[in-house]
Amino acid sequence: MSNWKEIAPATYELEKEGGMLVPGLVIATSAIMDQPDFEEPLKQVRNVAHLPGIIGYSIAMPDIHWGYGFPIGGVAAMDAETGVISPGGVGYDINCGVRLALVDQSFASILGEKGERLLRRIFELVPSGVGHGHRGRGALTDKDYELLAASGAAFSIERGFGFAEDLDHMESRGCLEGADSSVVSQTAKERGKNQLGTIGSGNHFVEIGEVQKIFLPETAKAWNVREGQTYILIHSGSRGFGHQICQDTLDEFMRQGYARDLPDPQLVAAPIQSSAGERYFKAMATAANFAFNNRQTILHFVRQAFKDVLSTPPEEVRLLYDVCHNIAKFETYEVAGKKKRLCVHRKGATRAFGIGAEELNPLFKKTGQPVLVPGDMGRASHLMVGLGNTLTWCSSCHGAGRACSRVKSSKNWKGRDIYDYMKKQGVTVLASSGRTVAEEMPDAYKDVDQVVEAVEKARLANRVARLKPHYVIKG
Amino acid sequence: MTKRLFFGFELSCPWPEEYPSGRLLANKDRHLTLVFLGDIQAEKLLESLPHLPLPSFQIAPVGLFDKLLTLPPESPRVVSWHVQWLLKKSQILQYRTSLIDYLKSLGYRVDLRPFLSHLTVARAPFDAEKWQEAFAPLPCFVKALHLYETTGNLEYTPLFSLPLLAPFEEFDHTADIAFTIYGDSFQELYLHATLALSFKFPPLLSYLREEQIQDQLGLIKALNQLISLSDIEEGCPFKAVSYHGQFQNHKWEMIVDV
Repeated sequence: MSNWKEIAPATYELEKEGGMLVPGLVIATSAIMDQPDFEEPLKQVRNVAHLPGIIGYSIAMPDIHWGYGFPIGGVAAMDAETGVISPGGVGYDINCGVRLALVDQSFASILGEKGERLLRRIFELVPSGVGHGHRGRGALTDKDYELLAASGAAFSIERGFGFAEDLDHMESRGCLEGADSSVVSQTAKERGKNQLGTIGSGNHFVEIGEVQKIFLPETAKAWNVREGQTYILIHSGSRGFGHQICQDTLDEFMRQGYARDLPDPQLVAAPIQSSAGERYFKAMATAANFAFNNRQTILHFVRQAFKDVLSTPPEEVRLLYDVCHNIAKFETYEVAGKKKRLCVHRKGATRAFGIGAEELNPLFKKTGQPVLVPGDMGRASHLMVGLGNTLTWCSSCHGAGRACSRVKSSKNWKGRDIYDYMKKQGVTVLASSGRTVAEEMPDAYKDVDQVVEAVEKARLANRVARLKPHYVIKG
Repeated sequence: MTKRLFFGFELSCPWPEEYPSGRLLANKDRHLTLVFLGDIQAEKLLESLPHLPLPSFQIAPVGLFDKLLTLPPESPRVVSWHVQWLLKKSQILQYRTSLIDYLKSLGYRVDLRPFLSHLTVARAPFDAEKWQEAFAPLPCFVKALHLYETTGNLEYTPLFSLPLLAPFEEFDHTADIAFTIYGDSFQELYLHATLALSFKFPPLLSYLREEQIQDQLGLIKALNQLISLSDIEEGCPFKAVSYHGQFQNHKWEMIVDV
């Protein structure tokens, strides 16, 4: 059993032990902590606390599960002057993230045959699964990568894939500064060149559903979110481009011996100020900007599908927000009474800025930023509002978190008609691979309602609306 | 007691779910014939089984079904997949020789036609062209050596079995996929790990290259190169193989980010 004490509601401090430089911090309710396997990833929380330059706590969100070096659902902030940057703290899928768009159309009006046609059209327009490049976008050239790195999502918007206003509704306006594609390997560029606008496989998806319940009417009103409204949720990242950048960097960091003295070589990390560290940040930011473009392109084709099937003008498919949940970013916080620049690693964690945060657009500055928490494809997802809690470096959870392995989920559902089962739950699923659907069945995930309850109790973010999926595309 | 007997390997493979038409052999009945005995008086052989020579390998040989054969070539009656051994081909041939010698020493006559590594999938009638079109390389490994009895209706019953150690085993991992890879060298681990990945995603096999693997970093790097190549050419469900685990006691835990 871990040695922890409750320091605030749903907030537990894990005692410092061994070579830990800071204590751990776990956001969870007792219901979550009682779940089997909850203890296991806390080992990784302790390991992360060994990283040089870590400030405050090594943090675990309530959707925590075992990850590469860092747990998924982990947050760690490093001193930008003396600390390290770790690819394992970002993850292979750099800037994997979620975007939520809303349509001023009641979901009831599209439920049924129209909804099914819409789903099929999106399935045609947005490639999903393994090995499906996008026909609607040409292959990226070296010059494209250069431009995309410099301008982020604006690269796609300038080419007709979206609207300028979309940028106001993205974390960092869809562009991480400091990106430089010249440090990215040719292999990474090759992997990514046909992958813009594609969902990929694994847990990535496009889902359409209904805003089922409003929890914070004032915030919902400010964001123009109404009960019964149609929503679209898109979950994808930087695809093979980001995976290769992560791999190239791990190879390089390992070769340079940066894993020495760490409790797990997967935590391998270079000083932020070193040339290796700087190089990784430039490459990672390039992948982050690739991911913004990926989700922007997917949204463009979703808009086209709405136009084709429901005659909905593209501008009426309104982007509410796009969040990153696998990223390292420089942010400034007050530490021991002084302003300090930190490199905040969020791996399977979402930024949750509150009211008044400088970076936010005027609307979100008044309300706090939207925090998007996809659950599973059967039960629910959540729209929350950030509270800017500095205890977690303004971070919140990113999803429900897996409850069982892919293998176990596949075995559980072997021989059963999973599509029919989902249909009976009111969810139509289209996928390139039946195996992916079996791996992603709702019971493979924790209950997202429990996860957001913990986040709310810990004052990281508040629930604005519960979203109920009805049409889902999986990889 | 006359029985129609032969020694053969049972192979493990991610068998396809669909096939062109033909009289299909059930997965459990598919085998690679090592030594064919035919109809024989079996008592002596069955009594002598405890003294059967053992193969020099304990970990199963691995290979791939690299091409489709219709046999015999002049008037095909069966559809077979040819096995290209990735490791231990010479040990298999040596073992076959020692098995033949042993059977001869018991006074049995064996079929001495040249050995062709193949596994019969279906019998006539079939459309050879459709089978060729549908064929795609698949990974395989030897699960066990059996003394089979032909019982008719394309069914074969093992009378004696010698199981081999699998080259890999999948184990549970919450977010990713994970395997224990067995082997005696980094070279062997590389091929066994490739095979493990190919069982999940057979097209990966086409990117297998001759590699000289010296250490664990080299092993991970080579596996990741396969993934990268596959992703560039036709996509890949794997992101990368993690820097996880140490090769010790003839095994290595491989975690694959998906």
